[in-house]
Amino acid sequence: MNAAREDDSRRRGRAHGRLWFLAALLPLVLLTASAVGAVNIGLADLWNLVAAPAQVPEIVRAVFWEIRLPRVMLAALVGAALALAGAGVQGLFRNPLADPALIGVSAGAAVGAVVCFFLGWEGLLGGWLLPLAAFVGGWLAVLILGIFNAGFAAGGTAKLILAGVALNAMLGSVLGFFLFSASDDALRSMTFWTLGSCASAQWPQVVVLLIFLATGVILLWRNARFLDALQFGEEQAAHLGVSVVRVRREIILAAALLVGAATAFAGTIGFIGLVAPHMARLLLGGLHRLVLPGAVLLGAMLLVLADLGARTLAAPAELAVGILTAVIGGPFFLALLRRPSSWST
Amino acid sequence: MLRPATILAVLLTALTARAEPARIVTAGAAVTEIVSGLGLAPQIVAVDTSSKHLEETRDKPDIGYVRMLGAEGILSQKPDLVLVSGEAGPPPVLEQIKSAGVDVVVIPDGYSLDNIDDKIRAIAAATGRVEDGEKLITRVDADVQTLRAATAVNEGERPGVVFLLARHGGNLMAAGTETAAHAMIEASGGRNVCASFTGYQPLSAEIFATAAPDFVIVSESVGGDDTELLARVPGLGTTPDGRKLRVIRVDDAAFLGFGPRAPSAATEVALALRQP
Repeated sequence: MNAAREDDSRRRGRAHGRLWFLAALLPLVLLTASAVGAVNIGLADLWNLVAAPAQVPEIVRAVFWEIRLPRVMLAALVGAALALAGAGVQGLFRNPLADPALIGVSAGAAVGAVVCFFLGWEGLLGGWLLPLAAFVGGWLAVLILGIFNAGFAAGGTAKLILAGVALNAMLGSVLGFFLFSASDDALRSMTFWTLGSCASAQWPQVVVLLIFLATGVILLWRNARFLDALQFGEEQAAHLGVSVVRVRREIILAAALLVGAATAFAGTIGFIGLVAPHMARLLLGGLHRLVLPGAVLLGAMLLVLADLGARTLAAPAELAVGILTAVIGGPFFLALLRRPSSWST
Repeated sequence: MLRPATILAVLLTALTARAEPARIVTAGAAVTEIVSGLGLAPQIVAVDTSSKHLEETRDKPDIGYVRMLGAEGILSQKPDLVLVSGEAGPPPVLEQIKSAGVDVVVIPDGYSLDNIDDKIRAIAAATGRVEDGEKLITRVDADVQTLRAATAVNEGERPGVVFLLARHGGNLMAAGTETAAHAMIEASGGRNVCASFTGYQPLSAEIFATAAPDFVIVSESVGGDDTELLARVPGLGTTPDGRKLRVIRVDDAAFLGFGPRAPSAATEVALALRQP
């Protein structure tokens, strides 16, 4: 008994160590991504950008502060938001294949964006109409799901998953209709959007996304212990004093905020919301106080690296980042799966 | 008569006339074509994908699809002028390039042969090649006159035309109004039989229920011979008076780009439409 407890605390200590390691790795990844790009910024210039800006050519300064840094930051925030939403939704549904897309927010956002392209309105409001339309579309989808699920209070999560599948199928049809009717140019824009891109990153968007991420972090963090309790089943969680409906509503609200905002600025980016939380669980165990921050860090790093590939591999052209997320994250994930570990906690 | 576009172009000329840029990045086939037409092809350092098929810019670095550009990639080509068509984007990326201190000039798209002069004037002003611009305009205007002469005969009996666009995967789409193809059909002295809808629509037999075409215009790049092509068009194959439907093949960039080659492309079509 004593030995088991000791073993448990050792494992937890190791998990904490790994989380700190990930936390230390993130700044390194951010720094590397900021240093590398189509416009060459040497290490000396990178230091001088902060220490002695006057010595750096003006064009390099502009590229770094106005283009590259906001882009790296946006990629980090989008990745973090998607991974965090994924961790919350997987914990809520107790389903390893659950994805934030399940609650319809991604498909709704895609419909919003595609309608915008269809009407040729993507450039309106200085380019802000497109993210706005995507965000509103995502929220409308979640709202519809909530109405048909009695405000997320009816039945168990199984019903919610089924309703989500039906909603996604319907939104898929709507999407298909617009794709089918679109002109060739609009169609190409739509296709690119659904593959994701961080190319439009500017500081205002970074700030907006940061606010959404902070809100999501707060909502999920205060439910972390309830998510742990939920892993024993909804009934048991209710016996333990968890208000299951309230937790469900807050997680869905958080996921809709996080994925809605991330998708609005970067298009639909798959894989990260599904896989980053699993990576966190494989590395850190099942406790949500570890999984949630772990997913944030891993999601951020994954998308920053994928975006680094998107903007350098085909330079001076851009690649869609959605093509690269799985290519970069996939092998790492498979390697993790091979390791024997305390997977089911 | 002074049209707003002309006033804009004149204003633009006054505001942007400047020294000749040494390194130009262009996006949009018509823009690239005009820049080349002004004798500035050697100064072009990178182009978008749609400009890659032009002879002069085939070997230049590719900055990608005109609506999905990336700021850093473009800036890595060290341009001192970025000339893009109105469809270029996303808008924040153009803002990013401007914020790096590089001039970005957007040349509005327009589905009219009269706009070509405005485009040339704006680009000539932005590149400091006003004289070459006027020469190119004279040439384009002469081509427009030739076109007018060719279409004058057609008045009164405009043949029915449908423009088909082949999309990835081989689906054929018919051009309705508010498309470059519609404007070019009208300019060539044809009558677009698909004037009942706007934009491009998937091809179906119903489209031709009320008005059947005498001619089909498709891009040169569409594979297969005429018979194969017509076999893919549901409910088509013969004209209203029972003759075999004729196919006209055009160079996409010239026919749809509304660049300097548009008037002569329209003339070619106009001559083909006149053949009995």
